[in-house]
Parts: sequence; C-alpha cells; structure tokens
Amino acid sequence: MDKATNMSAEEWGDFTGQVAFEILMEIGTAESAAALTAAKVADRTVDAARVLDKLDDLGDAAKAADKLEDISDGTKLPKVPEELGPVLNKVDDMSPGSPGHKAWIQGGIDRGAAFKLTSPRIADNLWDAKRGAPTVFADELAQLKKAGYIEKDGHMVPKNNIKCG
Amino acid sequence: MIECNNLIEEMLNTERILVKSKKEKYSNSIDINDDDWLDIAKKQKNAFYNENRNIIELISKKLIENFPKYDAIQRNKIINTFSNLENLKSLVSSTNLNDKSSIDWFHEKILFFILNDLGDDTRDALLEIDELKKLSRKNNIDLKNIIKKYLAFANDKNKHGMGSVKSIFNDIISG
Repeated sequence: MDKATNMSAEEWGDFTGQVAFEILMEIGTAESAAALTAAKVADRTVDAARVLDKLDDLGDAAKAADKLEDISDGTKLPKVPEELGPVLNKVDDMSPGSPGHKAWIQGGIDRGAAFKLTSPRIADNLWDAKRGAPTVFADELAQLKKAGYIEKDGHMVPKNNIKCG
Repeated sequence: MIECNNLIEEMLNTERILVKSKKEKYSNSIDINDDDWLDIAKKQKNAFYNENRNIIELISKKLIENFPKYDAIQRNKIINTFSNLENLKSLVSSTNLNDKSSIDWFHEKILFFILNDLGDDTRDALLEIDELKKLSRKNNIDLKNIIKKYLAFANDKNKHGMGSVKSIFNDIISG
C-alpha cells in the first residue's frame, strides 16, 4: 500500500495508460503542428511486468478504507493523483461527428497543416469494441487520410508536401 | 453477494490475465499508412476479446449482479478500480445478453456505462450513449426511466472537461 501511496503521477500514468487530451491550436507557421487530439500521458505499451506490479499496488489502495477522499456528493473515493485523470480540450463543440469537429479538422486540412499524433496507433485507440466501431481518434485519422494525408514521423502530413531528396 | 474487496481482487486477476495476453499477441503498433489499418485494428481488438471471452463474460456477470447491491463507498471503489484497469474497461461493456431489444439489455448497458465512467475519451462515451438513445427509441424502451433508476450510482466527477456521467444522464433526463 505504501508503494501505491508514494507512486508519482508519472508512475500512475504509466500504469493506467490513460489518455489525456490536448488541443494545440494553430501556432501560425507552415511548419507548426496542430495537434490532432488524443495525447497520451503514457505509452500504453509499457512493460507488462511493471503493470502487473502496479496492479498489486492498486488492489491494496482500492480496498483500503483509509485511502479515501471526499468527492462532491459526499461519498468517498480511493485517493488518486490529480494527474491521473485525462485532461480534455476546452473546445466547446468537439462532439464526435459534429460539424464543428469535422470543420476543425477540415480547417487544418485546408491550410495544409501538419497534425501531431500524440496517441500510439494501437488497436485500443482505434477500435471501440463496445460500440463495434472506430474510435473518434480513428475517425479523425480517416478524415485526414481521405484528404490525402499520410503518417510520417508521428505526424499526419499532406502527401503532396513530402519532398524527396 | 460477493464481498466488494473480493470482487476487486477478481477484477485485478482478470486484468492480470489480459495484460499477459495482450503482451504476447495484441500490442503491435498499427501502420496507419496501410490501406487496411482500420481493419487490422478491428481484427486485433476482436481477436483479443475472443481469446479472453470467457473470463470477460464471467467478470461482467459478477459486476452486473453485485454492483447495484453495494453501498455508495463500495460502488465508488469498484468504479475507481475499473477505471484503472485498461484492458478490462476496454472490453467489458457489454452484457452477455444478446437481445438488444430487451429492457434487461438496456439496464446492463447503463450499468456498464456508469462503471466505465467515461473511459479514456468522453467523446467515445457520448457516441455510445447516443447510440443507446437511438436504439431505445427504436425498441420503444424508456431509457430515461432506466437512467433515473441508476442515477445515484453515476460519478459526478468531470474527468475530461466535457461533463460527468451524472451530468450526461441529467441532460438525457431533462431533454
């Protein structure tokens, strides 16, 4: 339990692999990268042995009655570092499939902007097993690919802008 | 009824199995420049689920049976643990019931929605609840009533800045 109590936010992030989100809106130069969306606090492909160790810690912490903190409705939750939770973008209309969301991506496409990919391209981030459908992140990638973008060095970039030699 | 801490231990044990299974076969990075990138992702995720289907269905059943019986502190322990179990939460959503027109199916889906507590991406959670709304209308199921029944179980924490499960539920009820 001590280990769990003393784990840094980074370690919790490593363990949970939770997604944080950020929007880095246009910076202003052609080389600037507009972030897509899903930025990982930690890579999900962390060492499995470390994850298993952390599961032991979590079990202790989750069960312990003395590791509770108040939440708004007066019930208690096991104490978790603030950094654990995803921090989503503050853009108002980013609901998936909404005109605002598609338009935001399209705006970057129209400018020929690069989109920084900050989530690992693994099945968990691309396919939503619960809905049996692509994730919102995958939808964004599909929109970019349809517009002629390709992935290069962790960014989605317009294929025509790739210079050889 | 399974004692809360014992159920937490079972959740953790299931996650341990899933972590090992994923490491062995299902953690490859996907080349999104590949024409079949999405199909590859789908197949990988589905294969991961199918290989572990039995243990996933077992823990799903136990969660559904026991979660509503716990008190508020115990429910929050379960939700908080669940939200930290990356593999479990990405696979346990669904119910072992197949009849999507049955009211029991909707009860279970709402309970799993509460357990999932928005997952990693509120946008995906919003899509999920939107699809449930559409499906409930199609099948003449009163989703509002089901949500009202479990509203007290829903977390009020705005995890990603786009609202909490409770606020999403309140929007549906008042909408």
